[in-house]
Amino acid sequence: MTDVAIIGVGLHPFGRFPGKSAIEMGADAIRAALADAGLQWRDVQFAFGGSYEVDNPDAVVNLLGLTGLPFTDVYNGCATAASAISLAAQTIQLGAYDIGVAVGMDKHPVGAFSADPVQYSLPSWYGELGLFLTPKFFAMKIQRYMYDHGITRQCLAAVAAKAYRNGARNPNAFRKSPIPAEQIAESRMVNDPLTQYMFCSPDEGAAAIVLCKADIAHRFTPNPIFLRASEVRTRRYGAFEVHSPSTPLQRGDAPTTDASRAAYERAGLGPEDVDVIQLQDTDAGAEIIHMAENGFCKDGEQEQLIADGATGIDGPMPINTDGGLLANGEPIGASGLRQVHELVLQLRGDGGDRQVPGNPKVGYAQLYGAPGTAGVTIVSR
Amino acid sequence: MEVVELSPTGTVWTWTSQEFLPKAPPYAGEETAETFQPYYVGYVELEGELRVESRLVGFADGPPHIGQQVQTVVLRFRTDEEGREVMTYAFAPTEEGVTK
Repeated sequence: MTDVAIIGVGLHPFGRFPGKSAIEMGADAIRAALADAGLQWRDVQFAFGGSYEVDNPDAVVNLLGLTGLPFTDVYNGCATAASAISLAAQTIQLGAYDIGVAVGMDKHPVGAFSADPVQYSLPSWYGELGLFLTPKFFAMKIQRYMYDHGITRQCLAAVAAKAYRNGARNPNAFRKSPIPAEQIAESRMVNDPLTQYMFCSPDEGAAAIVLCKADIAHRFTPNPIFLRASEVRTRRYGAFEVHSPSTPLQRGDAPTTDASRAAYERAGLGPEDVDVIQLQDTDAGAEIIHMAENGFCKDGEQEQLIADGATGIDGPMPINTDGGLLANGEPIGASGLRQVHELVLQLRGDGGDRQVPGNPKVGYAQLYGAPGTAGVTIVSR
Repeated sequence: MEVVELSPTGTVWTWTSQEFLPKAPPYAGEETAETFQPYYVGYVELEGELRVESRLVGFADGPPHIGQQVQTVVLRFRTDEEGREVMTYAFAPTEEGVTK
């Protein structure tokens, strides 16, 4: 199969930007990625654009140039960016085109996501009764996980404190101030055991990457990063998933576990080969669960690993080096491209104040969200 | 479609508290930001059947705990635009569950 390389990355900072549209942020991210690759918009042969709030991310051509390129819009919940990357890579692998862009952009209103449960094939009473809420599901998932695997509330606070510590080293982050673990633990309870600072917020931002056929990558950059796998999976029977009025007693593997296995297999790599990790930390509990679902440890080992600082930038398994969703917030369409942007910087050695030591070679990114969709991307030098 | 009658009793499999007022719509509760009181939600395991999501009510002495015995209750949720009472199901501690 044709190999695919990432030759440019660009990011519009994440946060709140009154008066600036998602499309403008998307255009900024693409311009930055093109400048990074030393290319012009007219060199781009195709694009995939992801967004939740914007119906037509392809309208970014109004700001970049009406070159007539094929531009396909995708939406796949929290895995939107993984889908954009995956489809862009496949387009190159099919031999259709050599150079393309994957971009994600969003601008969410303040507060938790809300929707019509009927759109999720759920009964309307589920929403009327106050059950159609994602944060409380994540709280119930980690509550049970803590009970089964001996994870403490202190561990949740430590995960969030690490995120804000890393965010403070990232000039593009939404939250750039460290917050001590004690303050996180004592902040307002939102959904027990998760407090205010243990949840990410929907916000605004954009990110883009330029991909090309690997055998021409050196024309554009001396240090291309290779896309080794990008896999998307949905839930199977028995997975404990958001927006489920009932679930079977039998537990099945999570969609993340399926996507992760498929990605490792495609890449010919295992968790022991990974040097920098980006996990979906919608909440502090999700990062803990996802460590195990992606094969980085066994269930329950997180408590000691996190207490020992293993997931910090200087630890043996650095996770969410740019602050993750907790410090960056979640513009849904852009979130997974932010993860890949960070991995590319780290593998190039351009991580600045948050550079992982030891010349990392392999990066891993995981997305997960409603209604039970996961995406895993693996990149390497 | 076949109707299956489920057990009225079970145990708390997991739980949380809902401490902010959900967005309306879809939420149809009558509370305002001023009158809102946090409520408990959980999955109740019905032995040999399945787990059902439900509001958990009647926990006066502190939050639910995993494994606690609960039973179904019917409670008034709100009054609709035509003055009819809208009822719902919930799970509450059994006497045994309370004393444990």
